[in-house]
Order: sequence, then structure tokens, then C-alpha cells
Amino acid sequence: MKIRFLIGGPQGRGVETASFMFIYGVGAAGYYIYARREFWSNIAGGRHSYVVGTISESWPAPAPGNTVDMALTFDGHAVLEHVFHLRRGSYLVYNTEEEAKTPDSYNMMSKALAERLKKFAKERGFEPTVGNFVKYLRENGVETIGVPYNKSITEIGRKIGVTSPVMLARFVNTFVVALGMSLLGLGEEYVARGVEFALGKKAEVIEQNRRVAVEAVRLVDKRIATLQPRRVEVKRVFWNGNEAAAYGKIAGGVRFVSYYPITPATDDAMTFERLIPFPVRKDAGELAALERVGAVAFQAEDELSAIAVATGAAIAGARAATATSGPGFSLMAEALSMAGMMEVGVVVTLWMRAGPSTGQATRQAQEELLPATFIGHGEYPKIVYASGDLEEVFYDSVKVFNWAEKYRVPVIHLVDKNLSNTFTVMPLPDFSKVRIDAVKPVVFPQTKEAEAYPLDSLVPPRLLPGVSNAVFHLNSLEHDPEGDPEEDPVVVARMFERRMAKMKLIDEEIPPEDKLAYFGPPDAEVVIVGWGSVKPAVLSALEELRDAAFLYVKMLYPFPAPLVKKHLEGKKTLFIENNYLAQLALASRMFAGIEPTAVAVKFNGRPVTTDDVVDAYKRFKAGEKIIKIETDL
Amino acid sequence: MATVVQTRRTPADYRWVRPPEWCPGCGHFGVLQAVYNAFAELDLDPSRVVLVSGIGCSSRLPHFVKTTSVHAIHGRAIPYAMGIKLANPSLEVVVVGGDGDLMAIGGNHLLHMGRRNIDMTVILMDNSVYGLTRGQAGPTLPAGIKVKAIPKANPQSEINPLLLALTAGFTFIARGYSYDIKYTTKLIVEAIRHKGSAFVQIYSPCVTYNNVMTREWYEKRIYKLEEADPTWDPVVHDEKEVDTKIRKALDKIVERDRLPLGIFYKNELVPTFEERYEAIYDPHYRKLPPAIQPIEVDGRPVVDLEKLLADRIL
Repeated sequence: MKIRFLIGGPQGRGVETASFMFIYGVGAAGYYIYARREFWSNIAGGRHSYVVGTISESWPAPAPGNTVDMALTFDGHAVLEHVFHLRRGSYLVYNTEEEAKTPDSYNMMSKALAERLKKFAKERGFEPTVGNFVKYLRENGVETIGVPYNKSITEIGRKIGVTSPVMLARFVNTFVVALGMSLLGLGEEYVARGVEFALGKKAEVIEQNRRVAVEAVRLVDKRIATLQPRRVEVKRVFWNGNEAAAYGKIAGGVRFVSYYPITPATDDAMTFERLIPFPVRKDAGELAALERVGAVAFQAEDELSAIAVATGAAIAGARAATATSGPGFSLMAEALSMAGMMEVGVVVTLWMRAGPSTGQATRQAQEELLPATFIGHGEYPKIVYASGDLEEVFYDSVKVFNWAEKYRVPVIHLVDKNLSNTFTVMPLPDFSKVRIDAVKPVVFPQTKEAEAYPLDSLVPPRLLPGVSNAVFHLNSLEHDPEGDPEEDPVVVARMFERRMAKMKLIDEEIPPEDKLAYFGPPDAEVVIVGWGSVKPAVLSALEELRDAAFLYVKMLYPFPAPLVKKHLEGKKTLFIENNYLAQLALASRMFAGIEPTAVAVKFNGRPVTTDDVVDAYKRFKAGEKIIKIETDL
Repeated sequence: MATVVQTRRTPADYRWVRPPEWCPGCGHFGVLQAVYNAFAELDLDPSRVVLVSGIGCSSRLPHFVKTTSVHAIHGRAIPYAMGIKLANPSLEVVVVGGDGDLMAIGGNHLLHMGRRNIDMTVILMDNSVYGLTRGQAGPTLPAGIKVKAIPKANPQSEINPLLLALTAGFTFIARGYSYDIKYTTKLIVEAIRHKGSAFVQIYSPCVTYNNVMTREWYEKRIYKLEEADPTWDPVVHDEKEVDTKIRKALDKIVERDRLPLGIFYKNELVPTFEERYEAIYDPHYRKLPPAIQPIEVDGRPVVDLEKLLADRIL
């Protein structure tokens, strides 16, 4: 059983809250959810926003596709936005009071979409009203469920003793969610669970909304399914990607996060900040007595500062990170070169978004693979590592700090907007698998001058101010082992070689399973290649494309050339990426000498979906070499 | 049994193995000597001091000091220092840099350090030129002046560093003169002792590129606040005095024809960032800051992750 759903309406008027209610409520009935939020780069203003997702009895729930089985719409604008995302057999819940409206009634609709809709209606000989589009859908096999929202809410209000328009307006979320729950065959108690999660535990609020739900569920007599509440044996978590990263950092021992506000990275840092101080395990040795431990979350004045502050904290000995996105990342370039030169293990969690420049702050892209690989000036060692789903975001957030500390290089952890706004009800990660590989600092019995960069050790000893009893100099200038400026060609060459040799060490020591994964038949003739958040879409698509395999690359720098070669040599390859240049294909050619057979690219600000992968594969089979994906859900 | 005789450190104890590499007669020698003297007077443990600098002639100073140091990138000394200090507030963190580094490329960080009132010291070695790139106009060079390396007179007006620092919220504001080592030492000692963000501007003439604001130029203009006015008291003793003391400081800071030296303003009644953080985020912050907190026991995180996620578990 898989049901693809959508909840859409004007941004800033409760769509997000309603989605949380719906997801949590369905989750509470024992189902898994994989959902994603799409919204404009505004707070309110009435632009259209929506949440699209999949309900499943098992995990992983499939990634969203390009159409849905059911759409819950807040207004006629939402109906018009999603006319082409419904298909024969889909269900549409809409407000009949909006039937007379047209694209021109909604001044926050994109002009381009309004024109497309009007053209579509004209070609089919009908006036472009919401009612006519609903009729068109009905004639094409969509089950349409029209409810007069305001009239119904007013009547419900009368029944439960609420007449104030302000109060009634607050019931819209619960009302719409209840219509959707009813369509799924779930009762008002699951609406109430969602209300409790999204609106708080205030008894009066829950009771009032429950009563709204009792009445609202009766308004829908059609059923897309009759979901039975399920008992789930495993613990499940409801979170999004930003949160998974923050929880992963806390698990991985990060105690210092700096940030300058930027979408979609800030929620990562702010989740970390919200959770301070963290509860301590009862068996955590001497710390257990404290019950909670603190951390620093620091809002910097700009990204130049954010990366420098995090690097400073790492120099002092904290596991430290900063979270940012494209424009902010650009500002960190110089400091990353310095971290490479000074040999400081600092982590940047880079939440990629659609660029270039301000671009689309709230939309998806994977444009930073090559920028991250080559950021900064000069040659220096670093790690660029990408996560593809929420489970990975969590565990990788631990790994990257282990590596940063062990190899003393800057690490860029690539995640993206798609992951940041992916909401899942999924199995709780197994926390016993979290391992912190801490490097013990050197502590001298008596204060002494120490070499910060001894030539005989590939990675410098961990000297910490105030901890090591050492006096040492760290330098952004090329330096001798003592950290003093040095331009002697012999010493300079030795220093350079030693730093860069860490790349080889990293490549040798990090196990293959952390670098990439191969899914599907080993003898597959065609290998789809991808990275980051295209992973869930490709894996969901593989269930249909049984003859294809998937090479999923996580370690992007140092590029795992021998492994990539091993899997791709002699195969037909189809690289699927959320960018224009097919950056992984370029990296594979540059580092591993792989000539891609074809690339499928999507650069319209929307993630690659399961359907996109299936479609790209078909086009690939038909001989297309450069496949442009233009789907819009 | 051997007895350990604990002696106070001397200025020489802070001298690094290699000598300074500045031009003969450079004002920075005086600042360096004052730093040695101040550290000795405060008997600072060199393994607990972190000197942080950016880029420029003055930013080379940490190379010549036997303490831990971080010679970072241009303009960012303050944020690196803030990261170090906030990760381990028990360290004594001192930033040194020139007017280009701290007031031009790094100006924004200076402003924001001030409003945070982080307990550390910034020493501005002010010579109004970019020495290391051969004499371009610095942000403290007044308009209309043509120093020798610039092709035309300076079309940009100067920043008054103390005015900026006071506005930004620094709670200790002082000015010294590098050839008066004894006086500069005193100011640095006071700045480090101060609880909160301290800013010390030190006129430190560039003998090679600033042929206008020379030793003679400064010595014609400078005077000491407490000598000119024996009742001069820059300290805020009571919160009611804040406005008065700020006005008095401003009066002196904006003087242009004569250049007062001394402490202009000192207010320890403003909570430091560290104190605020402890009050708002974590009562154990200074006792167990990020840099020295154990994070694992036998490789397992100390944090109770299930408890942390409790409100998200179904």
C-alpha cells in the first residue's frame, strides 16, 4: 500500500501546520511517511506552497513522484496549481466556494502558470474557472470531492458554540486535515493526534479541534483507502533533514556551531541551539552527575565571521561547525584555504540551494559539487562528502567530525534543500551505531614550546591551547615545523607534500562502504550514477527498472577514482543530477577517466523524482544523450 | 627532595627564538616590548595565552612572542579569536593588528565584538598606512594627506577608531603611543585585566611609508588625559554614570588638533557575553566549555539521544 498525497494552499496561512498535523496523525496510525515541502522565498504573502509525500506501510516509503493519488487543497489557487499533478483515479478535495474564480483572481499566481492554464482551457473550449478545471478533471477520471469550506466551518462552529470569525478561521487547518483523514478512512482521533503535535497539548485546544474533526470527517463519504491503524514494533521518529543534521552533530560531539542566517541552512543551526543544554546518559561517567551539558551556538555577523569563529573553536579543541548555503559558502572560501593550511578540522554543513547568486533560496539544486571541491585558493587537502537521505544525514554528521579531527582538514558536508525540507516518519536510527573516534590531545607534564607541524608525522599532533601545556604557533603563512614563516624551498616542498599526502591517507583509510554504494544487479548493462538526494528517487525507481543498477557516490573529494572505475568501466552510464553541468559526470571524467554515456539533468529548482528517473531511463534507452528533465512537482 | 622555586616571569620569558623583522625604528617594536612587559606584569602562563592576528606588518607580532598564537587571514583576527575564547573562556585571548586589518577589511567584526562584550582585548597598532604592501592609505589616514607612496592626496576621510569602538559597545577604550613603552604597558595591562571587550589604539608610526604622521608629528599633538586633568576618572562606578562617562569620553575622543592618550572609558558593569551565555544557555558554560568537555565514553556519545529526541518519537 502506497498513497501519494499533496496538501496545498496559500503560503503563511497554515499549510505547513496542516501538513504537520496530517503527517503526524497518519504516522500515529502506524504508517511511514516520506514528504517534502515546496514554498516560495517569502514568509507570507499568499504564494502557493505545498507538501507532497508518500504514505507507506513499510520503510523506506517511496520518494514522491510527479503525480499524486490525493490532493487536499485550501483554495482554488491550489487546485489550479496542481491540475496537471492529478491523474485518472486520483482524488481531489477542494472548496466549492472558489469554483467561479479564474487564474486572474489569484494575484499571487505566477503569470506564466496563469497563461499556461488559460491557454489550456481555451484550447479545450472552456472558460478557465476553478469549477471548469474541476469538471475537466472529473471528466478525466479524477474523483473530485467538493465541500463548501466556509459554510461548513461556520455550521460546525455553531454546533460547538464558536461564532467569532477569527476563531473559525483557526479551524481551517483541522478542517482540511480531517477531510483528508476521512478520505484515508482514518477517524478524528488521528486528527487530534496531529493537532496535539502541531498546536500543543493545551486540552481545550485539542478538544475543540477534535470536535471540528468529528464533524468534518462526516463531510467526505468517498474513500481512497480504508487505512487500519497498525501496531508498529520499532520506534519511529518524525523529523526533517535540518533536524537530522543537528541531532547528528550533537550525537557526534559537536559543541560549537556558528551561523549567519541563510535559507535553507539556518534551521540546522537553530535546532542545535534550541536543544542546548543536551541531556546526558546516565552511564556517561563523571558527566552523568550534571544531567545536562551545554554547547555554544553563535550567530555571527556574516559568513566570513561564521567560518572563522568555528575554525577558532576547533583550534581551541571543540568539535565545531558552521552551516550555510551557496552565497554564504562563497564568502567562506578564503577561510577554508586557511583551515587547510593551518590544519584545522572544521566542518561546513553546506545546504545547497538553487543558484547562482540569490537564485531560488527555497528551491532544490545540486550545484555545489565542483565549487565545494575547488573552493578557496591554492592547493590544500579537504574532504567533500554528500548525504542522500535523512538516515545518512544523521550518521554522516557524526562521521565528518571524526574525519575532521583525525585528518585535521576542513570537511564540507554536502546536503541540500530537498533534504532540509524532507519530512519523514521513519524508523529511529540505531543510536548504538554512533561511534565517536576522538583524538586525544597531547598533554606535556610541563609547559614547553612544541612543534605544531613536525615533519615526521603526517597529521600534526593535537595541541590545544590551555590543555596541552604547550606554546605553539599556528600560521597561515607557509611555515617551518615550529609554525614560523618559512620560504626555504626545501622546507616548503616538504611541508607541502606532507599536507597533501593527507589526501592519500584519507583515500586509503576511509572504507569503500563510506565512499560509495552499488545497488542492483552486478551484471547490469546500464548503471545510473548519482549523488546526494537523488538517491531515494533512484532507489524507488529501481523497483520498476529491474535491469538497471545504481552507483551512488558519497565521497566526492578525494574522489574515489579506483572504485568508480571498477563499477563503471565497460558499462553504459546514465548520470542523473539536479544541476545543469552534470557535475558528478564531470568529476568522474576528470578524476576517474569515465566518459559518461548520457546525462539527465534537472535545473528548474525542483528535486529529481522517482518518475523523473523512470522517464529519464526510458529516454536514455531511446538513445537520448542529454536528457533535460522539466517536470514541476 | 628538590624544591621548586616559583618565580615571576620576566619580559624576556615571552621573547620567541627569532627576532622581529620590522624596519629599524618602526613603532611596532615599542608595542612588542609593551606586550612583553604587560604579560610579565600579569605573569601570564604562555600556554594559556592565545595571540591572534590577521595580515600586515603589525599582524606579524605574534611570531615574536613566546605564547600560543594564531596568525590568521586578513581582517579575520577577531572572529578567530572569538571562536577560541568562546570555546574555552579560561584562555587569555589577545588580538593584535593594524588599522587596515582591523578597521578596513575587518571593520565589521570589530563592531560586532563590541556589542557582545566578549572578555578579550584588541590592540590596534595604528600607523595609517598599509606597510606590508608598500604604503597605501590606511583607513585612519585623514583626507587630503599625501603620504609618500600614494600617487595623489588621500580622497577618503579617516575613521576614528575609538569613536567606532565606543559606539560598538566596547567597555574599555584606551589610546597609547608606541614610543612611550611604559605608558603603553600600563594600558595593555589594564585592558587585559578589564572584564569585557577592551580596545587599545596605539599610535605606532611607520617610519618607512608614513612620512607625514611621524614621531615628531605625534609628539607635537599627544598629551595624557590624567596629566591634563588630574580629576580624570573614566570608570563607570554606578550605572547612573554611564551616559555622563560616555559623553566625557566622546568629548576627548573627538579631539583632532591635540591627541589625548590614556583610558577614555571603562565600564565593568555590563555583563560579558560569557556571563550572558551562562545565564541564558548553560549554567555550566564556563566550568565546562565546548573545548574541554568530554564528548564520549568508550566511543559512545555522552548525550542521551533518545531523551533528546523524545518529543519526536512515535
